[in-house]
Amino acid sequence: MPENSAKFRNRKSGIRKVRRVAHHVVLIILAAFWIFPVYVLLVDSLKSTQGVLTTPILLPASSSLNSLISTFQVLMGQFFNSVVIAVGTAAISTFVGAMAAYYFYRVSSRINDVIFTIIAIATFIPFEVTAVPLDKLLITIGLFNSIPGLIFSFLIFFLPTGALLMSIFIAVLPKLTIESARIDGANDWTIFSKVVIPLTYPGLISTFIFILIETWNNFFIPLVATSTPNVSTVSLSLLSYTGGYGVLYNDSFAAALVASIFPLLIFVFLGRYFVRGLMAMGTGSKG
Amino acid sequence: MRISKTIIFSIPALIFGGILIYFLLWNLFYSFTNWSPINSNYKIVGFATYAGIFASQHFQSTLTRTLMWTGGMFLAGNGMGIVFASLIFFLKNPRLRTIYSSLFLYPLAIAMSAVAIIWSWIYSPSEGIDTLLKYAGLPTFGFISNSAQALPSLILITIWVYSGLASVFYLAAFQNVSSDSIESARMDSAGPIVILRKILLPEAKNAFIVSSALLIIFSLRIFTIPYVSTGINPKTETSVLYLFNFFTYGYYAQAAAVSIIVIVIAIIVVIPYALFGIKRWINA
Amino acid sequence: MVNIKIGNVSKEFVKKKSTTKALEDIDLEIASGEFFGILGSSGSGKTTLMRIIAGLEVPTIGSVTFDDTIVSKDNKINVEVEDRNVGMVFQNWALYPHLTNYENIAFPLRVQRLNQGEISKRVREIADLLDIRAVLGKKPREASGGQQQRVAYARALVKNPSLLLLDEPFSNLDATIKDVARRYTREIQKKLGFTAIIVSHDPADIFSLSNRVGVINKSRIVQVGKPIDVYSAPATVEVARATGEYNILKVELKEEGNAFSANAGEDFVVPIENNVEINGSMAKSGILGFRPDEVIIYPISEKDVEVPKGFMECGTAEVAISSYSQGSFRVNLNLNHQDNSFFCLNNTPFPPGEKVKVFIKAGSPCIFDPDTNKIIPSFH
Repeated sequence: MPENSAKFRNRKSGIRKVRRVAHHVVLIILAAFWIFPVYVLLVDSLKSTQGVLTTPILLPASSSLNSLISTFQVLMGQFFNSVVIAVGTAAISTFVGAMAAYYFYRVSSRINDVIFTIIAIATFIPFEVTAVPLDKLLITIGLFNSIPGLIFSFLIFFLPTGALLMSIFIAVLPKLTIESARIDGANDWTIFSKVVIPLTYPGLISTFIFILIETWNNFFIPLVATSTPNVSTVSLSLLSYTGGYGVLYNDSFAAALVASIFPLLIFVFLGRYFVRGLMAMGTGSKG
Repeated sequence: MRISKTIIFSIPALIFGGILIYFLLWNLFYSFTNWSPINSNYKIVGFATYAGIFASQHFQSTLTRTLMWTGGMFLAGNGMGIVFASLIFFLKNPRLRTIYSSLFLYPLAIAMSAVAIIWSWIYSPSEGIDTLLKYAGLPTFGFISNSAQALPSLILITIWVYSGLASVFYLAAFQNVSSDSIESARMDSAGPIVILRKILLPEAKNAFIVSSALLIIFSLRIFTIPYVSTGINPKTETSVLYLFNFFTYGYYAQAAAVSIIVIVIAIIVVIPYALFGIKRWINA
Repeated sequence: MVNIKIGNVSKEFVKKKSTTKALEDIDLEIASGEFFGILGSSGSGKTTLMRIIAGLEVPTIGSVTFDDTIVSKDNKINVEVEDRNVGMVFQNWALYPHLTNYENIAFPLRVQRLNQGEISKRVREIADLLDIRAVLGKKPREASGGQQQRVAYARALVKNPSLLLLDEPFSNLDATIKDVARRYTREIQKKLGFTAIIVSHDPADIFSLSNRVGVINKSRIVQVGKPIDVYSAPATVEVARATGEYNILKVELKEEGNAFSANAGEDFVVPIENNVEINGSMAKSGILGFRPDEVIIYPISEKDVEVPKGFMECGTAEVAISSYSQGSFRVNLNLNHQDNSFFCLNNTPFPPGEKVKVFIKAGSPCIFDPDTNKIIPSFH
């Protein structure tokens, strides 16, 4: 019955068209909801004081860079602290984590499995629970309220994370490659630096980016480990920009933009590495 | 032997991992004491501190809020994650797929304190959504300034932040389903909803485990959003804020005991997940 | 140029709760400068044995001695891989994908911190010897399989190892270049004089290269000897199969006067030269084994066929199918019992169902004990 089947196909394609349109409409609406806070962030951090006084945050107004510039000048010190701390923590965690991962990869034993499992579980513990002992430890070793103290504190959380992530990424290396390096007479350090590091490059970047973003955005650890603004990070500094009565919202949004621009740009340009780190963290896959 | 030299490689990570374990044990020890500003010469009191905390109405309400938050994140995070993942999965254009995936994930890359600031302005009765609703003559919500809505409003923010996380795992699971079974379903003229229900979701069990575990763990550690947008506030105080409050005022034994309670909850969540995940981490 | 003694080595792998024995009671001595082959199927333990010699695994019990030094003993490694001066060529060559071929070859020398000039001189020397100068600047994956393999050789040899280990080095090569590779392997070994051990499942590797061979089956060394001796007088059916293609038939052993024979049904009787005894009395049944290339067949329709010289007439069989393989036809034959079949090689195919006369080379068949699969030695 050729006519019959042709009609049938027609009806189907009509449904399909409606479905396709609905599919895109739903996606666009959801995307609009998700992008909305960034719209607000950009529009309002660029508002002039005049605009702030005449429009609510959801509506655009004449723009000016004044508030962004002045806020950045205020937060420059903290911004720089954040760069140093985040890059330092991410670099050390990735590299030292990779070393540990190399060890766990090279030497497999029951005890190592247990140690590794404990560390892996510990990295998922909410870090708020360490507030008191962290505070006490930092005061005891004299690192409280200092940049090195902050990096040290972050390393406690992110070095195990680095080891966990790198263990996942290192596992793709064929064991034979390492064995052939041993036969070639290479010691552990040579194998690690000349063979393992170059061959796990993408995994290293993923781990680095993941920890970089996590460290930059962390609020709680600087809150516990510091007490003065000069060693504070930019994400902690936002605390003084919450919507009290003295604050104009353009300054508040400008501060939020200053605090977010660094990880946001990294996400835009190197997001796939961040996602790969996330996937590895969640499922142990090297995606 | 060489193996013993290789151990050097693990030592720095083990030291820092060890400190983390030490912190947990520290909490365990001091939770059995009565260390506080009035008892700076603390002594071991057994479970007395725990008993006091469990009996306190204040703690019970924070724990309820924490569990509501966890439940909300678990339900809405998984739900939105599945919605995003399936909408993205059925897109044919790979560029659009990438763009939408990033679009739903980017909140994770923004500092939580910035998120809190942005949303507290959005929720502001004098400048935010409510202002527009008032202009339009519509009823207003109140959001964080309304005591009944403060907590759900904050939970909504974290759903905005974390749904993309869940969608990453669901999308990965969907993409792992063999295209043969999807194509053969298409030939049986199954629509996308049927394909989703009968083929994709049953294959996404692992994604469900992973995203549930991560959503729950992340919701347990949520601190910045309530702390920055509402401060330590009886309407929105969760267990970790409660614990932080004890810490600020020097009630270390109480802080330690609440810590242990949170750790136990976290471990209860992590262990089934670990049984699923760590085997792969190790044997990966 | 090192002498290797493997003393009573056993290896167990413990995984979860189960223990697998990979090697049991291995005793071997490999002379300095010898080219020794280890032949076995996959899972036989041959690779484990090689890894123990290399130092990548430790023997659970027993010892490995290089010249007079015990390099590992009873679950303890005394001399690590790095210090054994061993070169190894892996099955998939395990080249470093991120380094150029030049840097791959130079790697062992860089590890020794030789100066740039010395490294360059030695890399070029070995590259000339192996004819891979043209690919030195390329990455391994940009070179052909044969070239990659020679890069792997160069990397293994550039440090003048006293022992070269070859782990199935030809199995990833195209058939056409396998023989070329075998030839230069032999030539280099003769020229440089190192001790070499090759592990393979392919008897062709062993026959073309090694002075002696050890056949390993189910974790044990079953037979050690010159390849040709092992080939013609295999100790067990497994050795016979490991060393080349082999036919086995279930037979009844008969004694008539001074004549002995192995009967596989009425139509197929193979005369054997001597009686075969188990525990001092004539065996009743056994396994008859012979090589397919020691069989000649003629169609039964062809009259007046003379018994070919040096062969003996054994009876008739029916062609099941003929197939083509490597330059000749492989003719599968059934005896009247369906469960007894064998094959031989012939220049022309036969149609299925055709009856043929079968001749087997005199003196070549062996008789094995049906219970143990071990050869039953003949008595005069």
